[in-house]
Amino acid sequence: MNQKKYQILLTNDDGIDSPALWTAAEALSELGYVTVAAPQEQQSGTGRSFPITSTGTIRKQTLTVRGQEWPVYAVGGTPAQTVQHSLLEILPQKPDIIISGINYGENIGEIIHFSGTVGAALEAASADIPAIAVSQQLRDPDMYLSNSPDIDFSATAQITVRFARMLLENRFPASASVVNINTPANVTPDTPWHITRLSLHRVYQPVLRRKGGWEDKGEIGGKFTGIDFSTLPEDTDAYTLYHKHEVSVTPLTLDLTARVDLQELESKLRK
Amino acid sequence: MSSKPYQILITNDDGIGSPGLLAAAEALSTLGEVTVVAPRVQQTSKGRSFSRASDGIIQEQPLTLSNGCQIRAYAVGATPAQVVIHALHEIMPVRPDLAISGINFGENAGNCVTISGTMGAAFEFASSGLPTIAASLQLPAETANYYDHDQDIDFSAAGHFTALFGRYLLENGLPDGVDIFKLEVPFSATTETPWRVTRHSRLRCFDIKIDREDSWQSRATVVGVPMHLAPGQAQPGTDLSAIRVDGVVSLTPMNIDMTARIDLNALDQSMRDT
Repeated sequence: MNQKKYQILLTNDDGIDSPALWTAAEALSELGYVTVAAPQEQQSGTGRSFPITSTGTIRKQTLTVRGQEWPVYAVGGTPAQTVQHSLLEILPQKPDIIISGINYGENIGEIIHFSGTVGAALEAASADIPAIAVSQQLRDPDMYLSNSPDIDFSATAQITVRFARMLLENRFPASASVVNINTPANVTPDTPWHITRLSLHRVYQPVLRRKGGWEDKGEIGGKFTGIDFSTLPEDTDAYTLYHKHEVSVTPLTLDLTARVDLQELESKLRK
Repeated sequence: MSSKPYQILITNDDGIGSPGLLAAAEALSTLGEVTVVAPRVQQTSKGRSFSRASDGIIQEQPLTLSNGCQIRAYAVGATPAQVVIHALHEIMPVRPDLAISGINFGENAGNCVTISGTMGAAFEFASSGLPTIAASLQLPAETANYYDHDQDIDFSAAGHFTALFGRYLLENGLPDGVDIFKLEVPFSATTETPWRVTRHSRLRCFDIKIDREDSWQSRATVVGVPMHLAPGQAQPGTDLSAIRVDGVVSLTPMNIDMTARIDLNALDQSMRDT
């Protein structure tokens, strides 16, 4: 077989110690050379942020996955910062594709605004590199920070490889070069997939926990509120994942212009 | 005039001490009753992130306007998006009629908007269904200082335009299909500077470089430097070309829906044809 060996950068937001990252690394090595550079620590919920407080240190480590040794890089930063450290300091050349994940827990709808998994993919896209953010729904949503070794990510890893290949073969339009993939908790390699759009239905409501007054520590959590599927459009990521229990593939854009007639809006505003 | 004044909530990402925040409060106080709820410390480039390190502590810290009036203001130990949740769930007695994020030190044009804490707060407002403006003032590239609350920066023109579009939203609400008004004011703007409705540019507006002291083990900072635009690089009609090329005020209607603007059915079909 005389196939081109692609350069692949793999990162995530759950940190370098995530078993799901390893499952993805192993599967992606089928496509080319995989460089793994991931945050040193758990970075869930950090979106595409660039905090000035990040240390930016890079530690080269060796990890053994099923007998194979991998050089990997642990970066003191958010997923988006990790992408930049990789592009500017770690990788000898620009990668052909950047994969972010596999995340513990789904990233659908407006959650993607603060998902570190998606944040890394947006950073890749802004550097004109095709990117996939990939997340697997958990049977127990409270496990999202667990990096538990007991969850099987192998089917999602296979699906990631399939879509990475399609992206590398330019089968996505240039204006949709970030792809957000979510797989259901019961995913198998044969679970059907659908191209979807984001659901803007808020599935997690913010919940405040504060013991005592305003001078005491207050935490914001999220509570899964359930969904009325009769009002949820069938072509959305939420419907595909939560109702059909199938794989959702959403092409994203960096252009957030509202889908309205701009001239008409301008004349309305000038009245 | 209606009997009840409009309730206006203002936040930012530069923190409670920012002159840009005060300028927004000054300008909007002509339209209704202003409450300021802002991060206790600098939160630039925090996007819509939710940090688990935030303490969420709320301190009352009234602000004094130039006419001597005091307005209610609160400092919160949190990211801009978290501040919005605290404001709406714990501080505001009623749902605001208008929410403002800004005025930011530095432009938020091009694809860096998903990094911006100013925009992060606006996304959070929008996902609660509030009419919102994210307002930013461009800084001159040579001396741009995004962090230190430079007292010499004049936010009065930016305040004028924030109030202009704030009034529109109070009287008309957001147009159908629009979630956020993103306002960019060029550094040289006066209240007479023309404004135009623009598209959001996909270009990045900052070049990224890494300041590292020594080896990989040493501390390093990822910094954004305003990108030099080659002639023609910023497409006409975009936010970036309005402020960088034409020097006019830019108003971009934004969506919080990041789905690509393509025919999804066609894509689905083409991907099944193997």
